[in-house]
Amino acid sequence: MSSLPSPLPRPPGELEELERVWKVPTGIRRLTAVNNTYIGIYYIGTALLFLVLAGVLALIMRTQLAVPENDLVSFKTYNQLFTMHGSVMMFLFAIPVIEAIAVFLLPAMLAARDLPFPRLSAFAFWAYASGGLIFFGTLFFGVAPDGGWFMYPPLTSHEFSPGLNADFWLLGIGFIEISAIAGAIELVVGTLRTRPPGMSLDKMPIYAWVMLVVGAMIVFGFPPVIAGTLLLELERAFHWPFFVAERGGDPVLWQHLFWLFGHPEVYIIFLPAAGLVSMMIPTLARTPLVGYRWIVLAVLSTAVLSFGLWAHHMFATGMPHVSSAFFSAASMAVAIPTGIQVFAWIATLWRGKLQLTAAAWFILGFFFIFVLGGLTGVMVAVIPFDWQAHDTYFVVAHLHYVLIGGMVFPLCAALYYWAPIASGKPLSERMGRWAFWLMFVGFNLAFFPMHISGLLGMPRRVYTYREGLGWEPWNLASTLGAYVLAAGFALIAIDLIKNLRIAGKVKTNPWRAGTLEWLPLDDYATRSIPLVESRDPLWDRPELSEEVERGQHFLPGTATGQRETIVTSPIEARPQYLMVLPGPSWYPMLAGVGLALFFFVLTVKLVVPAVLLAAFTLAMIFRWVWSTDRSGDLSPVAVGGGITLPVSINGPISHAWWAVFVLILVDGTIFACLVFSYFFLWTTNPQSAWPPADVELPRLAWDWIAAAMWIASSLFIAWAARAVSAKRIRVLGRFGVSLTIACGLAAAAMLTSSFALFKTGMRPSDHAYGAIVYTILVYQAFHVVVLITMAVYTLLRTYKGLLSQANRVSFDSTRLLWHYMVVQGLLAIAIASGAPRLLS
Amino acid sequence: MNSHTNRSFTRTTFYISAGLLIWVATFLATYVLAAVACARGILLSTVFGMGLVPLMILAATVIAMGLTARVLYIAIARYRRSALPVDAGRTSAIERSQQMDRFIHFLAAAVAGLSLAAIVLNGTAAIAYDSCRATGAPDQHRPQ
Amino acid sequence: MRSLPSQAVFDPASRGADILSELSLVLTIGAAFIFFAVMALAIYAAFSAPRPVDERRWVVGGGVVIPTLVLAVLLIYGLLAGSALSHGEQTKALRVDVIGKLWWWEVRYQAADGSGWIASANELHLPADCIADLRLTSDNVIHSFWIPSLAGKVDMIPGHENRLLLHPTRQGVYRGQCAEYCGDQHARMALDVVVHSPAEFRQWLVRESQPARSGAGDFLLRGKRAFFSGGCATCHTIRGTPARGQLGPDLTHIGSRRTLGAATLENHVGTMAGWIVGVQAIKPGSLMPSMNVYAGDELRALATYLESLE
Repeated sequence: MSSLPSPLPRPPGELEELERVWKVPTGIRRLTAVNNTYIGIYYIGTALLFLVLAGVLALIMRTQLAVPENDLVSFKTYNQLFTMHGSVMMFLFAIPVIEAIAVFLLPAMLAARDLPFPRLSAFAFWAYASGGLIFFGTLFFGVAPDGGWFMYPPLTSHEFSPGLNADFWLLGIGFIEISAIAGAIELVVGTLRTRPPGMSLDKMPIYAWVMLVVGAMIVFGFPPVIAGTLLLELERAFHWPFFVAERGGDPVLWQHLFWLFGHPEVYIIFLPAAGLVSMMIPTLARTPLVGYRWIVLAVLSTAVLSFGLWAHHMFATGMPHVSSAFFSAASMAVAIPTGIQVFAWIATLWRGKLQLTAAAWFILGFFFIFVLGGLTGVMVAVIPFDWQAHDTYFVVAHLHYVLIGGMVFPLCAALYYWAPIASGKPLSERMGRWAFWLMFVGFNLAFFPMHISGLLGMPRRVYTYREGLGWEPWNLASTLGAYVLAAGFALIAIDLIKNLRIAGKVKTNPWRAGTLEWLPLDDYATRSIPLVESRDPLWDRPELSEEVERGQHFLPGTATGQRETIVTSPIEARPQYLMVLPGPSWYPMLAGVGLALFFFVLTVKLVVPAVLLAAFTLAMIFRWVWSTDRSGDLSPVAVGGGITLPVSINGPISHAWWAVFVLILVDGTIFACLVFSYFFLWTTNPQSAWPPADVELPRLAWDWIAAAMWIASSLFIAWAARAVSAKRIRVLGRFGVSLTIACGLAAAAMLTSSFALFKTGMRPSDHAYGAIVYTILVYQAFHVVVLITMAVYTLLRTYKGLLSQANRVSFDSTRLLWHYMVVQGLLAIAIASGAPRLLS
Repeated sequence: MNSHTNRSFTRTTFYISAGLLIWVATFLATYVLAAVACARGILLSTVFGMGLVPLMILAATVIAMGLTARVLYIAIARYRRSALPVDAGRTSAIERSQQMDRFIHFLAAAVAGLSLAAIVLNGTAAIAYDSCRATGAPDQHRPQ
Repeated sequence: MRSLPSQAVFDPASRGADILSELSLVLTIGAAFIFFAVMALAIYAAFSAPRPVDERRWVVGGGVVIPTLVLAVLLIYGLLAGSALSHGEQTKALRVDVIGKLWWWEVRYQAADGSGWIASANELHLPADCIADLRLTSDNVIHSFWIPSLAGKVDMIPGHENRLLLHPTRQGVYRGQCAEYCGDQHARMALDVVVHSPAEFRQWLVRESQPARSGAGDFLLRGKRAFFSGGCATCHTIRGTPARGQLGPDLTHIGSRRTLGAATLENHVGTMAGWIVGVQAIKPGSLMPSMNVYAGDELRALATYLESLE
């Protein structure tokens, strides 16, 4: 580069202005902060708190199992302990912590000033933290879930779990579903659109690749469990028999939906950790990553192949052997990309010289444990072996080897490696090394013997066992190991409490790394946003740090006097426009906490408080959203390098469209899962019972009317869209009227379909057929309610004069979702009315 | 920046993941075929001593292999054609753009290659077909 | 230390378990070999002096080609082993229904002449060198039937009837345990499987099909009266008496069984008495209440009576 984008000297006051805009509130208003570094650290801290809490549960369990016939805890407590241990580790620690790290680290790696939706992150965090604590608190009242973390019905249905326990599980999962979807939107839009200029796809840090892919995996991986929990709650609350065999349901349906989520989830947890390893190894070995593009290949293929493994958790359910074979094959195939990653790392170590820091030790420990866990994973992918190993301690050993080895050890390495970015100084290397050895020895002592106790016939989830089966020494060893492992965790906790702070202003690169997160940072992230020309910019351009800090690159100050970041094109990372970002606010936090409390009081069936909290939460969300979408009228600004960018933008390249598009993918996948449930139940019922013989189908005339109204509503929305291009948009003009008519048509279409179905006399609690058809209809009705609310909101903004050709996100989002809803409505009709006619 | 035209995000995404998408389609098609055939007790007849279901699995596998091989072939050809820029730190914008091209063709080819292996493994399931038999059990359909 | 019957994967006693045990051994050795090879390479790479690498050889050779070949072989091996575990349709097999209960096993044998069903519980008797055709179901939650020495596990799912063909080859007693978490007392839902010689089995089945025969004597009679006065017949059946309850295990030949409470306790008068009064202490959450209505003597009589039902 001949000359840098922004010339020196920088105008006086530029830096001060930037500092002022990005200032983090102090005192109690700290809670309103939305800066990714602050939310990221709170998020990581909360997730680690849950790791400790769930770890304590594990210690109690291990103590109980130290000797046969122990009666330290009752079966009731034990069953809650293992359910909570699994659920909290998976849903309140593992998934949140990977999102938390991304919230903290990703913008820095991309030299973005923040994530694209800072308040959404804040909202997701507060909902997760308060919801998670309530969920965990149920343990102290003896009403924690006790159905195992995968909650198989019928054990968890109203008949066999009449208490609130299972409802609390559904509550806890609800939060993680919400924060995961919010996270997915941030990840996908953040990695694709807020990269620094020049960071084309081939120059993205591996971690950014991974988080992009993980965001996409969440988009397709979470909907099955969202659909599953919806069905389970409907069965529990209203006795809709999706899983009741006597009424046409099938308990195996839950297993399909759960594992269709559950297995990709394992990779949602593992891939980010592997991505962190891919970032740390090159620095610690002082050589660029060998096989960068191969690792990208591995990440992409793992993500897709991981969606073909789900039924390998179900080999013992009596599936035809040929069906199992597909899942066995995919389980084998997914091992190949993992092998690629392992060999790329080893090759990098081969080419470089490893500096044995605490982080490096954790990475070596990760190799040992994860490779062993991966190999036992291949073993259980061999169907006949799985028939023996399934649901025994062998599997307990396997899953802890891959999850602790594949995720917790890299996480510890990451804490030691990246802590300087938060606090400005490293953690204690000495304590880190001690912690590593305690954890490594403790882990293997705790979990290796479980392979043996499993092959000796010990099933998982037993609160005690009989003497004389040869399990005693192995269990005692496991218990001892668990305590040693816990001591290692305790050391890290002490180190973090002593040394981890949010420093704000940070200028450090202790490991001499080559990626952008080691640029000098402040609350505004980097002073200027660098032009990126290679994968390890700090290695290839040593003066970059200084240039960036002096403000010589893009956007060295604030161009609009507000928080902002550059939006670039998804592939080549060419600057497209300047995105104005929101600042601190109480509303996302209050909305998050309000939502958590709402779900809680709803679960314990306190109706009046629930209504009040719902109103409160909606009001907070309304206030939060109301203040957005106002920067469209600002004139274009120069960001340096002779580039002038528009401030915010509408249409297909805007980040708002992308976010809505991601949301539609989530939504469509949930719907697809409901359709899958329909056809799955069709296969498990005899031909004559689907629909049941006494069921009358809705009359086709009604369906045609409803379909016509759906399509008409879309046309009116399209017509309203054309009115937005007009100079003045009026509530009582073409815009307002067509939007109102569209709402009326959607409501009428919904009522018509509901009426037609209701008139058949079929009720959802009679048979699984009715249950799933009604569910599809209810899901559609939910969309109608949401979209009419959005339309009313848009009309309100129009009335207040806030909607214009430039500020039209509220309408555009409504429009996109509306068209999707209409497609879904037509499909719903096809399923409710067309499918039974075709299938019989 | 340079004047190189913008690549379509959608097209690039589909190009890179073409191989995996073919695998997804094959996996779903064969799984659904076997599941429905076994649940409904259809397609149980044999042709030349081979079951209809495994034959259809094999046919799907061969078609998918052909498609993937085609993607692989195209991507490799494009990869070979793309110029090889200096893989060093400081490069011109044009060179960086060429690196990008090459990277995308590489990914498309490698993804197709790996998918080919996954598709072959998926097709191997055909040997496990034994008239819908489950674990250690004799001929069986769902009880209902 | 008292020893229980074997529950280990590497102690095969049937055709299928032989295959499984051999396969498990091959997989374990193979995994160990690969593990040590990769670890040796990683440690050497980490601690040796830097040297150039050939990306293609490492990543493609080590990461793609070798794993793909190994995995393909493994997949075929596993699928063929799985197919080898299936048997053709058996016409002469012994039909046995096993139904998962909360938290015990109902077992029903089809009489040799196919005339009817012989009810039993919590213990499975099989002839060696013959094929048994097990039908596995549940009418409550999901359980999983697992006798490691005889076969891999097969789930018992409401609305499904899963089948398992067993071909025991070695006489002896093997233990199994429910492998799918099924609620409160999942930990204490086990059973013993006794593999007899075919001749012994035939005799056993004949005995099992008979109604209960209790010895004479006042003490036993007193125990029998206690059985009915305590309301036990509401839930239990003793064929040959008016006891026709269906909720709990059939007790017609309870005295001949090896264990009590689904392989929770050994079976003798002492444990029987303890079980009757203390079931909620031994297996809390069970449907059966602790029957602490009996005087000491009466309890001993009841336990003795039940133990006499051989």
